[in-house]
Amino acid sequence: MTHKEFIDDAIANYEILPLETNYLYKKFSLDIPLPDQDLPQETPQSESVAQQISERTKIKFDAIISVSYAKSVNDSIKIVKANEVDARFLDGKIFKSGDDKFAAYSNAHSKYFIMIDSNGKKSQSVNLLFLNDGLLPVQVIVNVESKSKLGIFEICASEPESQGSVVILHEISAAHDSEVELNVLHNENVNSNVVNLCKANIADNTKFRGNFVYNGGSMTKSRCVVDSSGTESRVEINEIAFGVKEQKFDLANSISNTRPRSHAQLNSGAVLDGKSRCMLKGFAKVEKGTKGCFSRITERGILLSGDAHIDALPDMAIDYSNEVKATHSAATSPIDQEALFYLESRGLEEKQAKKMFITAFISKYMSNITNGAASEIAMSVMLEKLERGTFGVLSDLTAKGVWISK
Amino acid sequence: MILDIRDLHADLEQRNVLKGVNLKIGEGELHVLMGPNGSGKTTLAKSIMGHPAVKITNGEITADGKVINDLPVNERAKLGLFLQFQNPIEIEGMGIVNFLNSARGALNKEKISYKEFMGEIKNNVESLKLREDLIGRSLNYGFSGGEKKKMEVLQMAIFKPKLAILDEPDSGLDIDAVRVVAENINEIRRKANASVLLITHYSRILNYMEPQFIHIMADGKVVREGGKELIAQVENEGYTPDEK
Repeated sequence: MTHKEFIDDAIANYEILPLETNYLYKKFSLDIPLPDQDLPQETPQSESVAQQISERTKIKFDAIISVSYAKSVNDSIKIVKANEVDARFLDGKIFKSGDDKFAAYSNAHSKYFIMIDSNGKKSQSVNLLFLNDGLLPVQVIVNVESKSKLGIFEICASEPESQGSVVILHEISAAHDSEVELNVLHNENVNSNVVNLCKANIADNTKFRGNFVYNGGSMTKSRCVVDSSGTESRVEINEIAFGVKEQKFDLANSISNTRPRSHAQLNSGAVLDGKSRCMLKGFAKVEKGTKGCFSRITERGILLSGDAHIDALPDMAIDYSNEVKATHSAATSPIDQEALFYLESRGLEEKQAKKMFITAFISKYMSNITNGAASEIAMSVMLEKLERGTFGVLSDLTAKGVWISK
Repeated sequence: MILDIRDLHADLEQRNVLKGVNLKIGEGELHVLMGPNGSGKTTLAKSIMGHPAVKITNGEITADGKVINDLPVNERAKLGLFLQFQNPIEIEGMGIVNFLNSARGALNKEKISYKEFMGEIKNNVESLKLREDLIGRSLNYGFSGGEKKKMEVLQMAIFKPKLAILDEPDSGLDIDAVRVVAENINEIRRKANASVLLITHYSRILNYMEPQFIHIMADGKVVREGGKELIAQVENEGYTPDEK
């Protein structure tokens, strides 16, 4: 297959993605017309910007990727320009458009392929910085060998004045008895759009945990299709959106169990203020022959203003009901007034009590991130937003000392 | 602290619950409030603490001579009032130590080192026979009924209120736990000379305490008052003997 054929096939297939055709999900959907966007392709000072972010966050990045600049300083991370790949590379891709509809969209538009390999190392942690300073579609292809452990932390940021759209497809392939944790923090400015895609293929007795924090951007769209496809495999998606002003989030995730004793869990949360809106669309599928499996969708939301809006739409399709556990729940409400009274009765002012309550809610999601720096930075940007209503700029860390339940 | 409640009338969810309560609690005194279900005991406790759902329609609550009817909840706490909740709230994600530290700061308690603070928590955890690992968890989240009640007493010990309203600290506790809770309340009272208004349905906890005043509430009013001998009378005759 040539690159051109690959792209044509991808675009043709995108329209029939399962998450896009669900009638209810279609009804509650956010339209981000990425393919037609004509954004200014400036050449920002990516390296110096990255340096500043590195200093502020005290994170040493293994790779930095922007529209005009891509660099890796880690042997485990290879960056390939999409228009320079050959047919052999495309044929070797795990999620090709022909056999996987979900990968199609990103395949069609990727500017870079970023390949992360566990590289024979037993345990490794890598940090990536994406600068959203133009139209930046990329694919992160992760390959984890058997009995290896890989942690990935991605910060997606932008400078205050830049305008961009980042589209990142994560393709994760984990061999048996391995562990992968993917932590993604989106903190782009208000001029940015965000599309986060994730597809994982998990072998026997393997763990995959994806933690997604959506704090920045004007419009965010997420599509994760994660299959607990190994016997006794364990997948977990945790995501939280914190919206203010007119931020919009469309978070659709599909988890499935295809093997016995597999475990799949989706925890989605949203805290919304102003006129922000969030759609939580969790879909779980329990396929035949999955005796002893576990599937759960939990969607929770807190509304901080009367104009904020959450649509929580958990959905399940259970093809095999013998000896499986499958549950879903959804709850959205303003801050619990009894909880506020409780906190105020301990001397806390209303404003401080509300802040502590929201921090506690966010902390639940942060507690799933085992990378201490990642949880601290994510917490820090959300506390900044809670305090000042601002986002899009990575300030100096402020989360130090905040209790995050583990 | 001297708490004085005069002719208090209050509504809860548009229902007139308190219909003229009079109650005075002096410094360091232990008062017990008993009464049938729905008589207004918890509503009285909430009205003292300033629950937004309780609307005072008449009467006055004063703390050390200051009228607190319209005082914000947190300001009442700063005056030294403390309410132990009948059903303590669970807040997942809110660490207990962080919560205690923030509340302690809000109550303008004297500054102590982190080591002293943790030592104080640990001593109270041991004294209340709580599991030590609970301190590392979220506030009341996933706690048993007994653990929640003990956690309230632990807060009382840390915050050192001048007047504590304890709303059924004994309900749901086993025999040993009732004794432990009672002994801890006694100790906290003794150390700080705190006043206590203890709401209960059972006399068992009072076997370990020395209340000076017993008040019986019925239909939104205090209808009988007396000393500890009143408990035995209530046990034998019920709350409202005249209606028998």
